[in-house]
Amino acid sequence: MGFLLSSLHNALALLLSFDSDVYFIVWTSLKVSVLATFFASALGVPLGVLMALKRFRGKSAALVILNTLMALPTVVVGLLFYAILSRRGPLGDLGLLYTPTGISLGLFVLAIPTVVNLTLAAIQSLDPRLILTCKALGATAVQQTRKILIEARFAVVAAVVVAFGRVISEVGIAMMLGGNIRGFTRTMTTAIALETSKGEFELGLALGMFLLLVAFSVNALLFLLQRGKV
Amino acid sequence: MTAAYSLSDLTFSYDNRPVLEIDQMEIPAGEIVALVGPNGSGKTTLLHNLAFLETPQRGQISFFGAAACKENLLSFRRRVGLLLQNPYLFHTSVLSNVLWGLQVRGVSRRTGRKAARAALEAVGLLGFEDRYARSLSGGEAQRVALARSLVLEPEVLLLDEPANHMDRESVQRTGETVLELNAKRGTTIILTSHDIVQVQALARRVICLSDGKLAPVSHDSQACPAGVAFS
Repeated sequence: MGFLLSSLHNALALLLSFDSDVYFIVWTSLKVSVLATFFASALGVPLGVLMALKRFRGKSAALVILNTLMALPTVVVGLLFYAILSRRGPLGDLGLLYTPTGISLGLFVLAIPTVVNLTLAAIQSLDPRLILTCKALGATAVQQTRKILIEARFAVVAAVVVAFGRVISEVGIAMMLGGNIRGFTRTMTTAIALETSKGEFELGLALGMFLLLVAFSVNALLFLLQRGKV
Repeated sequence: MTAAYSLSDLTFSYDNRPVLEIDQMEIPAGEIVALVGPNGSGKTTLLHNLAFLETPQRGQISFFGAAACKENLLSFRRRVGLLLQNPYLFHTSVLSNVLWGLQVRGVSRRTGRKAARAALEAVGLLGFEDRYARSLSGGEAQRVALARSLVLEPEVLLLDEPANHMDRESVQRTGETVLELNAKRGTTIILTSHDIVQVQALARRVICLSDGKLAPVSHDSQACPAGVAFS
């Protein structure tokens, strides 16, 4: 118990000392995660809306695949993109392996199924009278879609937040595609794993606390949004 | 007189089960027509077809002399106002709800505000502009939805059970609004109602539906009960 308390104390002291190494790790984590979530949302939200509203052949199969991808192990994505981005891989010439962009790419793929699936669920759970009302008021297909998104805004934002939570807390992709290079691709999760294995429990704990703080802030923001206070 | 609607050989089905089969039907422009019939007789489905929200599997609907087709569906929809039996109000203010139909037609919020206020006044809800629409009572929501249709100045107004959730005073006010709209603008009104008193007070013509087909209006009929026997 004493060990835990003293580690907690040291971790807090480390955070409050504004150590540049610690905050660079935090910054890298936030950067790769925000980038991945942004692009996953830009592609995933429209895709989710389309899948919810349109009827097409193979829709059931697409939904099953999408649900399966929700449970995609992060190391599998890491492994796949390692093969693609490594020198011998099809995108090896781009030199993205062991770079923050490489990590973002993997995280983007991880986030896409979450954003699409949760957006789709949000749209499908809307009142069917909404579309009828939009049509009856003379809206075009684009105007209807925009209104549907506005009506489902909280659930769609929640989809984005869940995706962000998934990417910022994963370790497999960041480790395999980033390589955990100090001052370059080290993220909070890879640093926690490394420092703890080295016995640097305080740094791991400090980063863990920061990770929790980020998760708490994002969820608090979502809560306020849903309450209409932001 | 020009026909607002002319239906011929119309069949509409849900999952291959026909719910509407009308050989011939004409609704003259400028009329107030009541659609009556028991629950499940196809009244709401017919209204949705007349609002061009549903497309019949067979047959044709002509709207002021022009046959409805995929190309003119949107422009026809924009000439018709529909009040749903249980209207859906957007998660926003009452004013934004009333303005939305104008905005999709390219009218700015600023320009449409005056018309929206006038529509809210017509349904007795002036002063409700900033209220959150989803917090209103059933009757108030019904009136906001009516204002949302009125502000668009449709050539045809379709009302599906407009007295639903409304108190006596609101029903009377809605009736007066409908009659005024018809008298001043010549708007064709088609309403479904279980309220015999409302039907008698408003409609000049009654169309009876039974099992999706037109049925004769009769004092003895179960489908179209006594009290709605108009010419």
